[in-house]
Amino acid sequence: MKTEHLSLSDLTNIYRIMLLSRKFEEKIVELFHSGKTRCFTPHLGIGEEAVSVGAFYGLSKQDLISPHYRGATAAWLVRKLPATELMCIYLGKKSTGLANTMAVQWTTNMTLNVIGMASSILGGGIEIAVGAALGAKLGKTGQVVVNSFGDGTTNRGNFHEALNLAAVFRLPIVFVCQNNQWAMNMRVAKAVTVGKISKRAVAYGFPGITVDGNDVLAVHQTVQEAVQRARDGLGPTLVEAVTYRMSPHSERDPDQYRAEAERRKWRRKCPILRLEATLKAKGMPQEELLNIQQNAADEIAKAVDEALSRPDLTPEDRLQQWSAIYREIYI
Amino acid sequence: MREITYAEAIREALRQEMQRDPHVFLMGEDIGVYGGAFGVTLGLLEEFGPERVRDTPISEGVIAGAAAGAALTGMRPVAEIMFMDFTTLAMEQLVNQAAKTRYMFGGKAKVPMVLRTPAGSGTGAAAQHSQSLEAWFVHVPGLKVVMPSTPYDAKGLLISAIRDDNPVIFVEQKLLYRTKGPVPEEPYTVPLSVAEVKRAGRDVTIIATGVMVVRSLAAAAKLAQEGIEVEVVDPRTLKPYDAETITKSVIKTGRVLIVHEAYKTCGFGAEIAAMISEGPAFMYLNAPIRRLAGLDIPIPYNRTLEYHAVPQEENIITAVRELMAYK
Repeated sequence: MKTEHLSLSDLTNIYRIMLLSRKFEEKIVELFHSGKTRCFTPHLGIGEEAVSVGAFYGLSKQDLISPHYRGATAAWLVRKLPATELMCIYLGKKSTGLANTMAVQWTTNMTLNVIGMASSILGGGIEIAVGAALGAKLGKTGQVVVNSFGDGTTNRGNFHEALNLAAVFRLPIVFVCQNNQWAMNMRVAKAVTVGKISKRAVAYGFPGITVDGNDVLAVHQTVQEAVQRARDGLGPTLVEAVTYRMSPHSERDPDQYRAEAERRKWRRKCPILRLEATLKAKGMPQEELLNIQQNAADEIAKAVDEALSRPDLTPEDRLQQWSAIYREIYI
Repeated sequence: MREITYAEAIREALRQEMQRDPHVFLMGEDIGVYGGAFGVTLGLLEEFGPERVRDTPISEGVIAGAAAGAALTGMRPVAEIMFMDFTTLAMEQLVNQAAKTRYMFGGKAKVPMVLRTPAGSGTGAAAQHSQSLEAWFVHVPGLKVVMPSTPYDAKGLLISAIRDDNPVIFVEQKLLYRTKGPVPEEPYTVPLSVAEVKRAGRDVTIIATGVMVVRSLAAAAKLAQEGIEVEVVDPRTLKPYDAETITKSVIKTGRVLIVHEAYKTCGFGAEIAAMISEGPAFMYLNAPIRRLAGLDIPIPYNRTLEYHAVPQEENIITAVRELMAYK
């Protein structure tokens, strides 16, 4: 792991956010399967934290991020949204900072410069992100957009239209393909014939780079270089971060189409353990690591407690919420 | 007042809004040097440059999607889709994204975009370049749908649409592009969701959209010579539409003819007929509600067949006479 470009405090912070995301999502698994959540089914990114955190960490606050649904937890945490707010959505509690009625990955907060997944019909979000980059370019705001999506999404027609338009307009955008090797039950090799998804950038005449998606520092450095390129007016880059989907597609997916050996192999490549090894090698004492781990666990436990102590959305609230949100169909 | 064409009125609205607000920009296929397939944007590239008059690749999906994304960041894009038939390639972006963004994001975002698109038959362009698909969009909460019938309305409604903070589908009529009418030179707005009585009358209410307003007015002039006084109501905005003006007119006349070019089944007229039937005007009806609409067929290439595929002036006259037979 190359670490020269980051200070120890950045490394520690990255480690902390990855842990928070992991512990948050592990808690969601527990709450979902014990029937405590009020949502359809969580789509979690356990084991893929290095991609979101690596891609979205270290941008300017003004830069727009548009995260893939799998990894939205980490993206929100990078943008410092309190875990309690995210937890409220899963638990059907009153939150203050986000839309109460929508899933975590869909919600948007333009004050945090986070564009949620604009469409749960995959691929649409890439076009929205391209439009945001066009807005940034036309408005001369200096913003860069970092947009992530899965490997499966790159087979959609709108991936092509969006990347081509971004290329011909030389837009300030970085596309991050979070290749976790599985699109629901479809293995990436059965859906993509070119081997590396980054090769698809050839079609648009901008760089395509494949990076180890479980190496958070490699993801971070590659994305940062692409961001600089975008900021310098040199146009888009496609970064393919190869990782592995440790979670099932969703918590309702029995996940019986993959060999346990494959999962076992990737479990050993856990991005958090890898960063931990790097931190140790840089001389971080074991007790400090344990301390960070304990703090992350405490923070998530507190978020759960706080969320649980918030009032439920009662039928009246739902009604109010509904009428309030109903007005939000039009301005 | 000076008279200009419907196309010129649209171009003037675009020009004046681009002069007024630097956030307004245009995006679409061949809208630059070519001026758009129907010449509506001619001259704007020269005036505003290629940054604000952006030719795009043939990519309707991302034209609509990127317009929504740019709107999210505070721009006011006006996208052009060359033929309304091609909006089918952008339905995902319009229906699932632009329309739902504000709702799904709990009011924390807005999508002030306009999508202009020419609709309608009568040019011999056949089944895939002649459709009137406005009802598809009217069906979707979160979208507004505007359909002007005169140069005056075209300019005023487009300015309102650009200034509106919601996604607006602006349906232009190919056959109206060259029609002329009085249009003030200065910028002005025609409010969205307000219908207009284009001709007052006591006997029959015609609710017509787009080019059918023109045909209905021509029919009304002929019917007046027979002593039948037709009132022509143009909703102008189809979503959200002005039920009140329509209801008031129906209560006055007691007879209703709805005329549109789009396919009859589940067309906009079905909604208007249902609204009248459910509302206070129902008790005032002296005759069944009548719809005249496009036949439920693909628009034929053959010009004679094409002519008969959609309502014409003589069909409107006949339908009104039939309604008058109810006493």
